[in-house]
Amino acid sequence: MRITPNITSQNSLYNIQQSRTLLDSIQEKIASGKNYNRPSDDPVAARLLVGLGDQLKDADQYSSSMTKSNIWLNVTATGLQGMSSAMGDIKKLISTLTNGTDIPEVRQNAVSQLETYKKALIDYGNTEMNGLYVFGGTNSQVKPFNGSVYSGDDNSINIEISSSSTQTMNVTGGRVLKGTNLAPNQYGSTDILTALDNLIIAVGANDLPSIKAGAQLMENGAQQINNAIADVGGRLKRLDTTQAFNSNIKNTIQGVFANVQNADYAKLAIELQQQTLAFQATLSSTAKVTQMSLLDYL
Amino acid sequence: MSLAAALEIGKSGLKIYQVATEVVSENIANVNTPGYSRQRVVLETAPPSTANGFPLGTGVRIATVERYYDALLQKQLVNAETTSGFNSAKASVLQQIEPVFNEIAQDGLGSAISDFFNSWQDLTLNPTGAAERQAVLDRGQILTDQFHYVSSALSNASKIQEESIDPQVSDINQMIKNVSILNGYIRNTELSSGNANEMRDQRDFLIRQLSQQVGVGFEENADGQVDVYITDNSLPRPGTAGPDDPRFYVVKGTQYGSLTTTAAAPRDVSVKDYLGNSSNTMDPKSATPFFSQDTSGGKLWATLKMRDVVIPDYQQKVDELAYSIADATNTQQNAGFDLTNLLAPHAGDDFFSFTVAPTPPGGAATYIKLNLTATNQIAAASAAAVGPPFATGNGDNALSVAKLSKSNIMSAGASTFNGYYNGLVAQVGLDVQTANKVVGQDSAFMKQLVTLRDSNSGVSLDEELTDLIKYQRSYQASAKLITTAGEMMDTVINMIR
Repeated sequence: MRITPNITSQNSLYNIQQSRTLLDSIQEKIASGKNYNRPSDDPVAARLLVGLGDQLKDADQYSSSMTKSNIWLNVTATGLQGMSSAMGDIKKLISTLTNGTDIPEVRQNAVSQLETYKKALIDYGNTEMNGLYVFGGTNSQVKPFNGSVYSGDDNSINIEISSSSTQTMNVTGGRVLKGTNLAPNQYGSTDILTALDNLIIAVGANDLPSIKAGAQLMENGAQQINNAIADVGGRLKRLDTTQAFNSNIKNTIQGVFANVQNADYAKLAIELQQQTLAFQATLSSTAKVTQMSLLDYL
Repeated sequence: MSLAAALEIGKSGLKIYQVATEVVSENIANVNTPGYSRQRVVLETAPPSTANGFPLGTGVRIATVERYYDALLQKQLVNAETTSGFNSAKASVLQQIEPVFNEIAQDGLGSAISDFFNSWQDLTLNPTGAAERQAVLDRGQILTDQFHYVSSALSNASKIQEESIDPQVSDINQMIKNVSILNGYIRNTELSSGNANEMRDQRDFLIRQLSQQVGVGFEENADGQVDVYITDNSLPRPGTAGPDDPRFYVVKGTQYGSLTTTAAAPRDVSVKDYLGNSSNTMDPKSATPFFSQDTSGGKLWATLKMRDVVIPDYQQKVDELAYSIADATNTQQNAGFDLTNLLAPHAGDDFFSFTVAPTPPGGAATYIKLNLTATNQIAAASAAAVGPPFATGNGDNALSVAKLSKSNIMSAGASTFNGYYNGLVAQVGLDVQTANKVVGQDSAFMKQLVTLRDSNSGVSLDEELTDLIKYQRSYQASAKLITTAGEMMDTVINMIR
């Protein structure tokens, strides 16, 4: 084949261009730290990466939901613990009264103590978090307990904790203190507040059978609250497990993402080294060959 | 035979080698001229005379000045230019579009969709929270902004194609006209004296440039003129007045036709041959395309194809996504109840609306907007909450909206919103990658062809310099011949004295 200076220069330009393109792509990977900088670098990997990105976003969202739900449930648990200890106090007080007493001062004192405990129960029932009543059901902006009257509802607040499962976040005041025994989350059917009202009257009147019945109801009520505490504990446990699972999944996805997307610096450094060498050789040979001409010798 | 004959031979040598040097200098001068083919003087002996009693030539003369030229290579180059014209134009447009869908490098439409539905997820935790509700509105706004951005980027790309049609067509028409003018020059020159080498080179180069812009065929006539035609493969063939032959000759000898465009956007391009017959419109959407293959259409076809097929296809997908998201969100929002009236719960109004009603889904991405203006219009509560009393803290409907992002709504129930968009990202990536690869192959092929052409027709300076020395020596020898013959004459004349 006959070679002209133009062929040489075109070939040189072409090869320099190819070499530079390669050099540039290696450099881009190193500078950005990413293997793929645009979808066309590798459409299949791009599809994978954006998919993984979405999954990571979901995992983050679930994690954030669970954290918030965790706080809510912990506040609920605190409220329930308070109720439980108030119930404990009531039970202790009642146990001293089951045989009745003729001393009016003692009865009077017991009645006022019981009334205080009731107020405490109601206060716990009106526990607030960020302006929301945690025991108010979905009617969470209205104060749920006013005396023995419950004006919240017994609906659940459901949140998504993974792509396939939801969890109830709240425990309603009706279920805990008013004995609404609806599925799901059945704790018991003792209307603690009304029973307490009756008990107070019975103690005031020294009505022994009623005091005994009331004591039994208080026993049941304490059990009802403990059931609720156990349920909340169970939910918190589930959240913990799901949270752990979620972060496991997140780590795995991040690992895969990093495997695909993060540049392997060691490999790239070697490639860069090789390519630099090749490029320098191209430049140097181009400079040498294109300079040669018969003119130099005429 | 006399001494004068020797002088004559010397003189012819001087004259011929002077011409040969001129040809060499023409080659050297045009070493970098694109499309130039090197030329050679072809020498032959002058007719012999038998004055000496035996036949002996009367010196040297120039048979012709020929150019090194390969007609087959020219055909291949023309085809390759057309292919490369189409592919490189396509690749450059696609590369301009790709950043819009570059979800890998930055957050775009895809993450706006995720964020939007995640904000509903947050709302389920606190269905009455003003901050959560505001976040839903804000994310909705960002989502519509992203749709507007993508859709305007696409329509801009399409508009650029539209605007480039007129300059391309007038460029093409100018080249068509120039080919016909060169045809005339070449015929006239060659009728009177030999080969019009340089003008042929110019014409070849012009046809190569033309073929890059639009796919053409050409054939050379006996009189040296080249006819250029564009083949219209679309069916049915234009009107009874038009020719049955799908070839539309835009150059026939010195006569020429042109490409015509309609005045208003979107501009339609058609061919008008030298007789004034019009071809069908170049319509890339047609079932029987104007050019049998995309790559035989050149840059103009790529422009039309981008404007009419590729960009609208992306646009259509984005529109579909916008329409489906708006539709699904609205339906779910309508099913829930908002907080505008706490006494008699009010069913949610549409979350999104369109400034101009789309013909589903056309225009959805361009015209989508947020319909809600206040946070209490968000319908987070489901029907179960209506009461009375109205359970304002119910977030079941918000959860239903959030779950839409996991439902397979797109592609007739085959993919989620994000899945669909990610598919689009991958498709754009694949289109760009394929186009870039093809451009790479084209340029390698072109390089090979140009090298072949150069190997045959290109000027080699070393060769020319060698020839120059050769001719210089020959010139010197011829001059020496004349002085020698002169001296011999002197000798003869001195004998007489």
